[in-house]
Amino acid sequence: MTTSTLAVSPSNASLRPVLLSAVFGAALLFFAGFSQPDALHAATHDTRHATGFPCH
Amino acid sequence: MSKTLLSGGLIAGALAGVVVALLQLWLIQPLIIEAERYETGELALPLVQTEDQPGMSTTIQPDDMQIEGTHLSRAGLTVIFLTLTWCGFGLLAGASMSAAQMSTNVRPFSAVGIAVSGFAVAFLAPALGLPPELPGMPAANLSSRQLWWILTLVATAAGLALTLRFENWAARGVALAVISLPHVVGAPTVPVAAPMIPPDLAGLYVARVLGVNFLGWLVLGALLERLLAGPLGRKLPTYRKMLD
Repeated sequence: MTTSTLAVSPSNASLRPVLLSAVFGAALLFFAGFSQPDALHAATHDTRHATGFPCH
Repeated sequence: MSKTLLSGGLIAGALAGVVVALLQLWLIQPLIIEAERYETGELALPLVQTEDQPGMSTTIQPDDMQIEGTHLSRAGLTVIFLTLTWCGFGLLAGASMSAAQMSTNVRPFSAVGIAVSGFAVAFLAPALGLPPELPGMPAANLSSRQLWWILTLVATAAGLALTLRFENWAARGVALAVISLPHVVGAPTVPVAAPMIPPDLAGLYVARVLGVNFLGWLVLGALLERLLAGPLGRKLPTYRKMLD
């Protein structure tokens, strides 16, 4: 029986958390600052005005 | 490493977000509410008064600036979404620090360095073309402003990354061109119109938003430096080995 090991190159292993962090961060910013549905716009209105994001 | 980067970015962002939210409720929210009274026509500048909407006092009375009880849920939502927004800034700044450390022999990060870079990229550069606007201020089409805002952030971040990665004058020239490009193209604008809200209210608001966001980035920079620069620094030999 052979033990299978998951081959992960060092660069991929190091890049993954960086990419994950960047994608998660960008998604949060887009959700809170840029998404357009009316309900979300009302809830995030003052946040957008306080952060300098385009609003209205 | 994965845990450190994600949790560090989230914790630093959330704490900075709470600080910004408190400052927002104190310094910025009253100005937004005041502006909305002009936007809805409850108050009007003498300049733009109409027959059925006589001009009223443009002076901000202290009473007008109090956040009423009905605004509590609004304030709660703002605290939640500001915290989420700053978590996003924390994660992106953490990822940028990590990427910079992996690809360059960048100097150890300083709290002020992180703060100034983040503020320049995520606030100052977009604000040069699209200054923070109060409700009721004339503005161009929302989608085109959002697109220009995001492209300016990306261009400024790319320019900054170029100067960090390649420390020579040619790269700095290219970086300057990349950073300047959105400003040369120009942000979407609308023709100058008669103001609906008092210009001094708008001026006070822009100054406060600028100050609050800079303070937010100082807090975020200090926390990221404390939570991430150590672990990232210790990882540096591995990264260098990997690149060699």
